[in-house]
Amino acid sequence: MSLSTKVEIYEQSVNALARCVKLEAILRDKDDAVNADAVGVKASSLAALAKRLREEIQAQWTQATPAKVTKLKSLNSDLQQEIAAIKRVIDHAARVVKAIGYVDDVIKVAVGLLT
Amino acid sequence: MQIFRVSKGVLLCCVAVGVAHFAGCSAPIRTNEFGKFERSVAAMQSSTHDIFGEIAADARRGLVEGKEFGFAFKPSELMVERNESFDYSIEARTLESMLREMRSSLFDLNSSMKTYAASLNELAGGGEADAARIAQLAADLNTNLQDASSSVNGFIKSRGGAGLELSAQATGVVSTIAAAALESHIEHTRRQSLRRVMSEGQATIDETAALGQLAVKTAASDAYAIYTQWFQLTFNDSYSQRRRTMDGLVAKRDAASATADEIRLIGEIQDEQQIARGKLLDRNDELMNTFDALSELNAAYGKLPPAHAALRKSLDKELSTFDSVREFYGQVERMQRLYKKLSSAN
Repeated sequence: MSLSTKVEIYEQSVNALARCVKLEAILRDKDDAVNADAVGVKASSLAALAKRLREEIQAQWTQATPAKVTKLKSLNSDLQQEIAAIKRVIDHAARVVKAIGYVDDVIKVAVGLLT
Repeated sequence: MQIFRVSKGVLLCCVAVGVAHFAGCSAPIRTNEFGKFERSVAAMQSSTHDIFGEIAADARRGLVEGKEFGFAFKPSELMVERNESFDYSIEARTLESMLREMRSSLFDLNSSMKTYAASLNELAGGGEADAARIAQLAADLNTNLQDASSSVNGFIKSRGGAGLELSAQATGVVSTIAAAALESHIEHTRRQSLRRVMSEGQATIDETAALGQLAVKTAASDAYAIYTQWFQLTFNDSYSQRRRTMDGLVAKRDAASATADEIRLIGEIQDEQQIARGKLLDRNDELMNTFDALSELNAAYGKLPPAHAALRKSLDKELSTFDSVREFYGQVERMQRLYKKLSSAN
């Protein structure tokens, strides 16, 4: 059974449990102890079902989460690599500009050697 | 001798055509939207953590008051068992322990999503910082070209040559071309990278949001189960019996046949019932507030995948002819501003 189906059934179980509890309270208000007890028994079995479903949801949900965390981390790592690649391009351009700046010095050295 | 005789207007037009090859085919990256996306994911993370913490605390209170799903844990089932050094376990699988575990896993999940959203924003929004750095590089290139040109010119003249004069206008145009080409290349790379990673990541975002929604729906059922259990324990058979007892005593009091102890008991039961009703109303408010908060959170998780998809789609958006022209014009204007800045620096 899929996780979403279990969550849906759990929701329906809890809602049914609440309706039973409300009905039990109404019957007790009307001093109808026999029917109130009968509804109480139904409520107990619904509560047990809800508890079991809740535990199963927990197990299935907890099992599904790490894979998503790993995938998100991998996507983030890809993005960081792209950011670093762009930075490298600009750094490379900066080195080229800096190299052009040395032309002036090279000429001065050359002139010095020739004269 | 001037080796650079092409007019600046012709050169700028050539550059504009080259730049338009990249920039004119798509809309600018919506950096603001990426920022909003990151902030929304961060807000969702803290809200999730807070709400799950509150429901877990409520579950603990329910456990202390009595039962959970109609089941009362024995103290032995709640006792911590130490396994090895720092490793421990508790036999009972309480609602509080499950909610805290889910809260912790959700925190990891949302943290990873927050980091991913921050990186998307960093990649999308890095343009401004890069543009400033590239403008600085253009200015440096302009200065360096001027210096190099002057040195080369002086050297040739000193050797009896005619000289090589590179005008300030020419170096300005060269620097502008280089800067515009670099900026366009980077913008293109940025857009392509975002497209690729976001396309790959869409399925993960869909699944992560679905997991978040399932956790939120489960927590809503948990909150209702806790409330229902409290209601059942409070308004149970003994509460009805006390009410019936009071009805009988009130009848006796009205007939002036009640003893002093019986009249005192009427007062005690009335107080108990008032307290119980007051607690019920408080519990109702708390439950409704919890449902409202979880409903908002559920909607937020639901909107996450379409928001991610819309951001991804915005990177593909084809411009209308008018938009393309405007984009083209904007790009040229930007280059002209940079050119003027460089020219005035000469």
